[in-house]
Amino acid sequence: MTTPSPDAAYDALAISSELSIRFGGSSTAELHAVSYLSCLLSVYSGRPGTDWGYDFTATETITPFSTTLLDATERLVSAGLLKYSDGRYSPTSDGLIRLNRWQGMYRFQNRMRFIEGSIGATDALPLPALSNGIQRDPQISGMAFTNPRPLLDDFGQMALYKYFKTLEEALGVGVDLLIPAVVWLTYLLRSDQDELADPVEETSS
Amino acid sequence: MKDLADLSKLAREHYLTHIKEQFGQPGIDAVRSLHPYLKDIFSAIDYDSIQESLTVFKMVGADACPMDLSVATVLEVPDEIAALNTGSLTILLTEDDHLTVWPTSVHPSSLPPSSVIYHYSPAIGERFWVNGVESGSPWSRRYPLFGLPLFNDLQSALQRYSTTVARSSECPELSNAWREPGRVMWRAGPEFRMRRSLYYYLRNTLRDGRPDVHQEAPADDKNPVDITVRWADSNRIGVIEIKWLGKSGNSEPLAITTEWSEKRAQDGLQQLVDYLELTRARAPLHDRRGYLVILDGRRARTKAETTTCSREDGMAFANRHITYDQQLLSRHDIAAPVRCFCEPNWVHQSPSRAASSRSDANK
Repeated sequence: MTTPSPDAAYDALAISSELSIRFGGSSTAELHAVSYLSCLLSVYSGRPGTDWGYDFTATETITPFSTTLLDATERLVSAGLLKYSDGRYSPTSDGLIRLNRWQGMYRFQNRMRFIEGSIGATDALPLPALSNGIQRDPQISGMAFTNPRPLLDDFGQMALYKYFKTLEEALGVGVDLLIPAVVWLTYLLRSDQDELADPVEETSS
Repeated sequence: MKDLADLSKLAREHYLTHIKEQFGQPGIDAVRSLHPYLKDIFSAIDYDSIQESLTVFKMVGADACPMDLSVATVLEVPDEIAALNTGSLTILLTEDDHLTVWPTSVHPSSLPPSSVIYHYSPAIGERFWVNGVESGSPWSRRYPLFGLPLFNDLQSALQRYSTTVARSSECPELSNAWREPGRVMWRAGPEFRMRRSLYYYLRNTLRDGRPDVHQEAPADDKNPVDITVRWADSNRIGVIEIKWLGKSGNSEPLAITTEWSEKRAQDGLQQLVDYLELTRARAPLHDRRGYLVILDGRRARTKAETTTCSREDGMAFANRHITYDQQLLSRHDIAAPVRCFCEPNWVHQSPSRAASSRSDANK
């Protein structure tokens, strides 16, 4: 196990709670995807990726994936704050009480708007679209999964910089993070559709 | 990956950007509350159950609602929408998160401009209207924004069954439903084989929404359902009735037992509609859709003793489409019937036998 991360524990509880309200729980892949999107929104807002409190990697089985987040999730299950049933995590009643207490703590208040932005995207788009969109992230798309690769490190942030700058110029500064989250995912998904769809449409026309 | 100009254009034309520009944060708050309701509404009704249009709006300003509230139904949760749906719906999400529902179509331009409006119609797909103006569609029509098109998925699967399985009887069940290898007429009582063929196909091909495919035992013409498809965590039920056309018979001695013409398919559609009416009254919160599948094995100039047929006789009905009662077809809960023309088989014979059969058939 890794060193316990309070940030990862908060994210696991907060995200699984929101996804439980909407979808009856959260799979491991969904939890990691929403957490990664929240981190991405933090980077979009100008914070370094290292400020998020834990890191993500691209792996062959789940991308994005965070060992620290997985560890925090397992600790929450052991502590009776999260339950795992039918492949989905959801908070217990004790977990909801703990979350309520954590939400009042200064330490976590900075994270809330990023999580709210990514949760808002799960309302505006089909949930599978979120994971599918993230797979088209310029850092991940086309990656050969020979070894786990870090995401949102200096190299990853450089790959995203020009896109996020363009997005900010078009949307303006200080907007509700729901907007860049949905526009970014839509852009990634559109790229996917265009690449898949164009040849068919060309031949049928 | 497209270029940065595409990203910039998408961002500037996106409906969320328009909402922010027109209404500021109150508009974003309104659309944030609207999004989950759109998902709930599409949990209660399928895209394919909307025949004309679905309009859902939330007012941001203090304008009065222009629609007649006295004829609307107010719901606290979207589950009951299926009971109100006749193919056209207009829904107002109120400040206190109630749904005010009218079973009619309206054009978004006739609603108060200070509204965030979602509009879906089968003809144009999904659109948002912001401050009286249609916003650019952010989404391809290949993927729906707010729900899984489960009924459409089932209809596509039935079409694929028609071309990939039924056409050449390309499965053991359907292959054994024929009286002879030449596939001239069905065996007597082929229904259960046909049902099993389609059942296995759907079980192996439907994927979205965790479908549960179930074989029914049709008791009589008033309860004609052969297969039902239900999806997990959904109120949707696909009701499939299978009818066969052509002749059926025994091989020892060679005899015809039953013959069904186009009328059988037309009656099948009426039975399906009667069944949907009956079950709608019993369980109004389910969104049901009826699918009629016709296994068409009609051949020209066949007698009890015919075991092979010429290409001309075998394919005489290949393009003979069935005419249905338009009133039944235009119902919001009836899918377009799928006619699977089942071709005869010529390849089981040696060329010399085939020539001899052709000569027999022409006698």
